[in-house]
Amino acid sequence: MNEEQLLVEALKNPKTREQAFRKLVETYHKPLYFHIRGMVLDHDDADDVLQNTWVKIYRNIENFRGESKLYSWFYRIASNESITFLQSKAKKMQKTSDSLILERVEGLADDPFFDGDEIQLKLQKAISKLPSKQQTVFKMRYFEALSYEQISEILSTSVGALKASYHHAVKKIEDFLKNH
Amino acid sequence: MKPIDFENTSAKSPFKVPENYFEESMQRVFSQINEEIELKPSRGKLIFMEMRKWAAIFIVGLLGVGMYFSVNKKQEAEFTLEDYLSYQLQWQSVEHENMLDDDDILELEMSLNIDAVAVEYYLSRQDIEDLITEIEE
Repeated sequence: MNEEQLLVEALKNPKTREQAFRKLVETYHKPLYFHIRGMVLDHDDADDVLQNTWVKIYRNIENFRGESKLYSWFYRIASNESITFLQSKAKKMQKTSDSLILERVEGLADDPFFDGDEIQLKLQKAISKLPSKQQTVFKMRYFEALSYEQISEILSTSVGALKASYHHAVKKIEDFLKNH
Repeated sequence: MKPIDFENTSAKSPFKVPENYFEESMQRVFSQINEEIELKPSRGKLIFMEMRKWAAIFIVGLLGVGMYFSVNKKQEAEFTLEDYLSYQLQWQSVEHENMLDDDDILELEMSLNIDAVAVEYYLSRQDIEDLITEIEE
C-alpha cells in the first residue's frame, strides 16, 4: 500500500480521521487557496470558498472511491465550489459570471491583496479574455506550477490536449499584450 | 518591458494574503470540523434512531392493516345479515309454495265456498270497465 492509500485508509477510519484530515489540510491548504483565488480573484471570497471546500471534503471523504488521486479529487471540489460561488454572486448582482470576473480584473489595481506590477495587471486582463477551459489550464500550469500529468488527472483531459490548450492560450495572451 | 517567460512555470502568484492568514484560516477549518464532529450523533445513537424510525413505521402499518380489516369485517357482517334475511324471505315463500300440493289447493278452494252463482252475482255488481282498467294497469 502506498502513502496515498494509507492516507485514504486513515481518513476513512473514524478513529484516525481527525489526525489524517489535519495532515491533509496542512499539506494542501496553501495550494488550494491559490487555486481558488486564481478563479475568484478576491481574497475574502477565496477564504469563504476555501472553508466551504474543506468542509465538503471532510463530509464526503467516506464516499471517496479512490478511482482518482486524492489531490485531483479536492482540486475538482475546489473548482466546482468556486464556479458555484461566482455564479451565485453574479446572479445576486444580476450579472453573468464572465462579466463579474471582468469587473474584478479591472478592479485589481486597487486591490490591497494584489501584488502584481503593470505587466501582471495586463496579464490578468489577457487571461480573463480566454475561453474558461483555457483560462483554467493556463492558470494551473503557469501560476500553480502543476505538471501536465497532474492537470490531466484533475481535468480528466489528455496531456496532449492540455499542451495544445496551453500553447493556444499563450499565443492569445502574447497577442493581447502586444496590442494593449 | 521584459517579456513574460511562459515556460517558466514557477512564476510567483501576483496574489498576496494578510499576515498569518494561512495559520489562522487552518485553525478555523479545524474548529469548524470539530463542531461537525460534536454535532454528529455517535454510531450507536444513529443505529438507535434508525431502529426507532422503523419501529414507528411498523406500528403505524399494523394499525393501518388492523383498521382495514376491522372496517371490512363490519361491512361483511352487514352484507351477510342482509343476505340472510333476503334469503330467508325467499325461502319462506318458496317453502310455502312447495308445501302445497293439488289436494291442498282444492281444499282451500272449497273452504272459500265460491260457487258460480256467487261469482256471477259479484261480477254483475262491478263496473267491468274498471276491472279491465285495473287489469291493464
